[in-house]
Amino acid sequence: MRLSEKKKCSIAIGPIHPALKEPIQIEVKIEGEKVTDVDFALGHVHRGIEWIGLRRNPLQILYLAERVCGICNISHPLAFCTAIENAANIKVPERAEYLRVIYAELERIHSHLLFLGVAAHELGFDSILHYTWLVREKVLDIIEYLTGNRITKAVLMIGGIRRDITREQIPKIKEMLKYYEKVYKKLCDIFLDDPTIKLRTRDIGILTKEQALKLCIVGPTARASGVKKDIRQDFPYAAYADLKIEAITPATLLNEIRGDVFDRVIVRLLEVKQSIDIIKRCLKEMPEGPIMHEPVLQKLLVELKQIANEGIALVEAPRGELIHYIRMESSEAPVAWKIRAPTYANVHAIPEILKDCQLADVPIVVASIDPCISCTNRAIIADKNITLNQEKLHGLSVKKTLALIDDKAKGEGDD
Amino acid sequence: MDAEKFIEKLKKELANDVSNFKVVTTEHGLSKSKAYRVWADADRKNFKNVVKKLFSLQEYPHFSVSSGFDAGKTIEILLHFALNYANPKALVLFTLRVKLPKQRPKMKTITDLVPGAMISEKEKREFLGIEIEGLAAGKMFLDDSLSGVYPWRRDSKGADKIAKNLHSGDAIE
Repeated sequence: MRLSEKKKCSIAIGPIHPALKEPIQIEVKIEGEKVTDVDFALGHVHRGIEWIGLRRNPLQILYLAERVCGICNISHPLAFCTAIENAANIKVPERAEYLRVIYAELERIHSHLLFLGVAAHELGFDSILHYTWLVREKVLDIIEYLTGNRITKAVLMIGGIRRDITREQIPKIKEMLKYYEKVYKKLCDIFLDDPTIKLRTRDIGILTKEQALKLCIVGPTARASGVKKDIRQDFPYAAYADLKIEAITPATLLNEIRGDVFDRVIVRLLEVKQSIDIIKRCLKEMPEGPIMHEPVLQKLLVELKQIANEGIALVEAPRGELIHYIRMESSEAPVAWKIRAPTYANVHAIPEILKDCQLADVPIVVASIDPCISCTNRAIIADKNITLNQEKLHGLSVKKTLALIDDKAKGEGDD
Repeated sequence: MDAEKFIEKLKKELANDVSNFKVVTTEHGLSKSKAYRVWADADRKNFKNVVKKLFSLQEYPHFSVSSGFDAGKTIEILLHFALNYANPKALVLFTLRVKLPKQRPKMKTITDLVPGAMISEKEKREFLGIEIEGLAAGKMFLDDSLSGVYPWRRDSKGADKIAKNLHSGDAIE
C-alpha cells in the first residue's frame, strides 16, 4: 500500500522513538497522509519513585528527587525542598535563594538549547542540531565548574544550598554569559529567519489559547499560545520574588500569536536570553550571608522528622509548572509525596496539535511541546500491510523539508 | 486583582461549601514578597460543586494535579488548583481536600469541567483503587499484570507484597 492512497490506518508511534525523550505510546489514525485522530498512553518507564520515597527520610528523598529527570535535576529537588520547607516553616537564607535561581536558569539554558537541537533534527537539519548542542556544551561546562558535575549536581539542600559561588568563579560565569549573548544572535538568525524552518513550522501543530486554557497546559507550550502563565512571575519563589519576571509570549517579538510550532521555538529562544539576563542580575544583586538554614545534617534530619504538616511547592521548570506535594506525620518517611512534572500536563495537548497534520509533521509537532521523554528508535505500524519504522517516519519529515526547499527554488526560478 | 483580594472572594464564594479554610503564607527574596497557599476541606458529595464555583471566580481555573494517599481509615484526595494566574505575584495555590471512606472509595469525575484532569484521575484510580464515576475507561500507567494491586495503598491491596526482596536480587514472586 502506498501512503498516497487515501486508506485509513492506525499507527503506533513509540513507546520508543527519537522524537520522544522518554517512552510514551501515541496512536495516530491517518487517512492518506493526514492525521485524523490521536490517543496516547504513559507508564512504560514508571519507576515508582514516589513509592520508593515513602520508605526514605527527607534527606534521602532529596537525591531521589534529583533523579526524576536527567534534564530538570535542579527543578525537581528545588520543588521538593520548597515543599518540605513550606511544611516545616523553614526560612531559606537570601543568598541561597539567589544561588537557587542561578542554578535553575543555567538548567533552563541547557534544556532550551537541547530542545532547539532536537527540533532541528526532526526537520532534517542535523548540522543545526550539532551546532546547537555544541553551543550547549558551554553551559554544561560551567555547571560542572560550579558543582563538580554536568548532570546530577547535588547542590540543593533542604533549607538552602550546598555550594556557594565564590568571587573567583564569577569571571568564568560572566565569560559564559558573554559567549551566549554573542551566539544568541546567530541562533535567532538560524531559527527565526531561515525560510525553510518557517515553512516547516509556521501554522503547523496549532494549539489555540482556549485549548491551552481548557487543557491546563503549562510552560513555554502554554505561553506560545498566548497564555501568560509563568510561576516565576505569578507565584515567585526563591529570589524570583525580587526579579520582576515577565512571562514571554511570541508577542514579545512579533505582533501576533498563532500557537504553532514556530511560536514554541520563538518562546524558548527568547527565554534563553531572559535566563542570561536573570543570571546577570543575580550575580550583581546577590547578598552576602549564610547559604544553609542548618549546616549540620544530623540536626536538620532531627528537625525534619518532627514535622507533622503538609507542604506544597510550585516551580517553573524549563517545560513549565512543576509541583511537589509532601505530607509528614512526625515520622522517618513521609506518608505522601506527589510529583507532577510539566509533561504530565502537556501531553493532553498532543491529540489537539496533531489533528489534521501530515504524517511527516508528527515528529516535529510532538517534539515541539518538548516532552521530557527519552530518545531511542522505534515506531511500529499497527496495519499489517505496511511497515513504517522510525527511520521511515523521520525520512518522511526530511523528505518534506527537501520538497519545500525545491518548491521554493523553483518558484524563485520562475520569477 | 491581587492575591489577598482574590482570597477574600474565594472565601466568600465557598463559605457554605468548605470547612477548615486556611491561608498559609511564605516570604521570599530580599523583598519578602508573599506567596499564598489556601487549604480547604470539602465533602465528597459536594466537592464537585466547589470546583464548579471556581469557574465563577475565573473563566478557566488552572487544575494543576490531584495528590492522593492512604490515610488509614480514609483515602484523601487533594485537588490542587493554581488560581488567579497570569498576574504578577497574584497566584493563589488552592488545595481542596476530599476524604473518601476506605470501604467504598468513590468520587465523581471533574473531567467534564476540566478536561486536563484526565491523566490525574486515571492515575488515582490505578494507584489508589478508587472509583471515579464518569471517568473514561482505559488505563494510563499500569498494565494488567498489576491487576488488583494499588501501589499507593498501605493496606493489603498495596504493592508491598510484590515488592519484597527488591534488594536481595531474588525474583519477585
